[in-house]
Amino acid sequence: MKHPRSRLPKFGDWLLRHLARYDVNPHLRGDFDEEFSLVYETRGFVRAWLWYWTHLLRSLPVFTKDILFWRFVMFKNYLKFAIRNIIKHKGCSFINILGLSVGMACFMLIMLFVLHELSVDKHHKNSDRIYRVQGANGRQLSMAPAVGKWIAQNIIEVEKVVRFKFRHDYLVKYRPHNDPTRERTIIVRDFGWSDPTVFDVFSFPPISGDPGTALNDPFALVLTESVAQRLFGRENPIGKTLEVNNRLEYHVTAIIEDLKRTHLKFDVLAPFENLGKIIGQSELDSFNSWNLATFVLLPENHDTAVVAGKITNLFHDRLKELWNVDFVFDLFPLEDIFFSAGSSFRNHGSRPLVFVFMAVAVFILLIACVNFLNLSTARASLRAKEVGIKKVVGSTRKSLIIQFLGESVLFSLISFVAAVGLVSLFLPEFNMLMQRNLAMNYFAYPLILLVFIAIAVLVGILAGIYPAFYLSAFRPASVLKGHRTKGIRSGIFRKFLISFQFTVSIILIIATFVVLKQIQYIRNKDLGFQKEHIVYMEIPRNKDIRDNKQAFKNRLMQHPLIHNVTYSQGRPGIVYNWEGFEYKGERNGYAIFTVDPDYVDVYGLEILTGRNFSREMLSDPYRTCLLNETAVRQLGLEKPVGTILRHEDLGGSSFPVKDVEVIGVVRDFHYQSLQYEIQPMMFGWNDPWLWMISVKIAAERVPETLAHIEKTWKEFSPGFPFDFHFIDELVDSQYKNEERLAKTIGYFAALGIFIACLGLFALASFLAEQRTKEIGVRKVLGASVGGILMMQSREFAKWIVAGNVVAWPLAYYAMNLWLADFAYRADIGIWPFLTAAVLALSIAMLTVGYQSIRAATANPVDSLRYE
Amino acid sequence: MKDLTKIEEILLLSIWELKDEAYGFKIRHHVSDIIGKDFTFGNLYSALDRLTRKKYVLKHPGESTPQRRGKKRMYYTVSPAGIKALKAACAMNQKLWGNLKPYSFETHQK
Repeated sequence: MKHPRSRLPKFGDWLLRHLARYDVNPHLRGDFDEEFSLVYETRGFVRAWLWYWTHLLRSLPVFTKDILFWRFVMFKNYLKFAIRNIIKHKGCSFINILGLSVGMACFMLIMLFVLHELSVDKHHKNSDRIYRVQGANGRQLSMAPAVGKWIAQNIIEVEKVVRFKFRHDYLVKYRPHNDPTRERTIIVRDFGWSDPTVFDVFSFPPISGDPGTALNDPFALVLTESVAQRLFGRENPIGKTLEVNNRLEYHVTAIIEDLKRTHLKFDVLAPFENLGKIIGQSELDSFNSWNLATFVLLPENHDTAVVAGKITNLFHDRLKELWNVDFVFDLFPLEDIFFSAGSSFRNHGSRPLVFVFMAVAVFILLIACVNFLNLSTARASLRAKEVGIKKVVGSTRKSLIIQFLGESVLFSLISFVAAVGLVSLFLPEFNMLMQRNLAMNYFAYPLILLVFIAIAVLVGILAGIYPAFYLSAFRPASVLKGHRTKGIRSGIFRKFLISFQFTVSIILIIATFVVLKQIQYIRNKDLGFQKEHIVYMEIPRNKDIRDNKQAFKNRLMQHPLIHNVTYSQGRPGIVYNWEGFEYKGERNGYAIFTVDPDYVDVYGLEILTGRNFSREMLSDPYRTCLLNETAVRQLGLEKPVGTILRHEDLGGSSFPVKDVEVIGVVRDFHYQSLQYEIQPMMFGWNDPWLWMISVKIAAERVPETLAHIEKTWKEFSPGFPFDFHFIDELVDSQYKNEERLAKTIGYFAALGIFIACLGLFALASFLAEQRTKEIGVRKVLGASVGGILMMQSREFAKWIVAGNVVAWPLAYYAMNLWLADFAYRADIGIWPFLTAAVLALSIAMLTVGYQSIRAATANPVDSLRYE
Repeated sequence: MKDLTKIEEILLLSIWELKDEAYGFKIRHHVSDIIGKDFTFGNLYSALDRLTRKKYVLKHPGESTPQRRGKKRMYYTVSPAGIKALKAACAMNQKLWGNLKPYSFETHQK
């Protein structure tokens, strides 16, 4: 027989050791063992084992009750200490909580933004299998209608194809037959057409109706919730008839939720087939207009390169014949579109920006943590006695650590609650700043709330762990004797942390200044064309107006304050087309601007050699072009005028012929954002492409001129909203992202400094209090107020200067990295650094100064009597 | 001084009766015999703890045996205060029960 001892339950013993209270622990387990042995000897192992476990389980309720009871008693004790401490040092606690909650609120806001940005287009069920069909290297993002159709018919690897076409500002009218009072007309900002497969490929949650069949009828219409709300109010929209642009009647078949977290933007969706009724059925199978977004859904296991190759092969012959070019297709993942640079969609994201913001969020939170850490360690001596007494009475180091950690977690949870309030207070402003529609809906996304709470607890632990270990390490004997040995040593660490806080804040300030400087530089740079006093608008793309373009222009010109009018495809700032042209066997890419002869005059461009387009020359449209200087330089042309460029890429081009003649050269101007260098560009003239109108007006009496334009507009396109922009505003708005960056970083820099100064203030007041006696003695011995002030301030100034020294190279490096994205960049110079340094130093000195002055001017008699 | 609860009374009497043998395992068996039910260690130690805090019993660690894997026994003795409490309880019980005997109830029922 094995010795009974070896068969004693090990796991049960382990369990008991952790369950039973420590004061009875060993005897209790001994008793269990003894009885087990007894049963084992008399009735065998199985019985003994059974006895052990049933008995253990039956004792369990009492054990747990005991544990909970004592835990609760301790918890109550800790809580009491924590609350007493908070109340005793009101100012310090307030500063701690304020700093932490501001830091947390920043962090939460930025994280909401970051989470939004990272989740765009990732919620579709098949998001990892959806690709956009486009030209290789992102050359041609829009496709012709035939492309999608051919792919669907010929490529078996592609499960589904969706084509999107978008137009803007459509009039949608609801006219109930029996009730004219409920008639309603709205302008739909984004009107879209798509294949019925759209709801199989993308996940747009339906509200009513069946999206699966919603777009089968050519005159069906799917509305988003908010549009349905605007049109019908509380009525059930399904089956109702709507009139679009006063022409065609549609009926509503389904309602979907408003689009969010997707780069696609539409308010109303009509079937693609319907487009045929408007632009002609044959257009739906043509290669004429390249302006559709085309998406494909691939199967679970797919090789994009293979599918893209097949698509390239499918169209190769046709496009070779059409354009005389070997066009290569590419499949671009849906999930990356939002962040892709060439994206023409409004409000597209920027991945580097997201990471910069994330870093800023973490650093702001760290600054707030440092405050807590610094104050706790600086004030350690105040709690040294408490620690000493507790240790003498028998508290273990572990329980002290738990107590201090618990306190800091309590602080961070209080701050968290405050932060939640701050977030809901500032979310609307933040949304305006970031041009997003973020919502803090804790109940809809409990996970986010949990994550934030977890982060709050983590922050508490992070901020509390060093003070906890530091405080709990005091030796009762020396502490109770009154030695204050460790306070000085941790001073180095505190200085280091303050330097860190200011390093981060100063980097943010410098970044703000540099971004502002760059924006200023870009704004003031001579762009090579005139952007002032030009009204820019889009004419409705329908036949009536197209045929009246000349008449419209003539009527506008009648007004004396209107200098000139030009039709064009676009405006300076946006390049719609890049095309390749061949000269002497060499092929080059050109940015193509399709314009009419008045463009040069309206935008104040200068023709260096040759001539402008001319209405007298019947051969000018479609066949001739103007080049810019860069293009001439690149081609190495001595006499550019008369040069024939061979046209390769006919798709979507303004040149329907293969040979294009150069008739003139235009002085270089910045037709693109200053992020890019001037590249070769070309003007062409092709009237049917020109949908935008630029009106050069006089500088004076602008409202009057605008009224005239509006009146004329109403005459020619009744019922269509008059929507205009000024070119200078549009050109400046290219730098919206940079401005947003400057503003955001600026705000966070201010908050960073604010939080850091809160900490500094509390620390300074504490240190001044500690040195009351020293200052008193100094004054008695003849120190001047100024001298003491200097002494006090120098201490802090040193740390902040150290922060500057670290911040400068870091900021210089980071800002150079950012500026490298711009072809034309401002000189960083020394000023942003100096300004940031002076700013940070003076704010910090003001913060410290109050405390220092109070300490320095105190009457030594009072301070020496102190204690 | 508060009156003893029934279980405290039973425990104190058991410890007193067991004399030098009064440690966890023995007390548990003794009590289980008296109340005719299995009295768990959990309940035992929780009650003993209450008695200790009221200073009715005293603890002294004792020896260990191989069966206990080296863990010492904890012996309990009734303290003077415990004796006093027991006396009070005894006096009250006697008043309460007086000359009543189990069969007294049977006659009453008839």
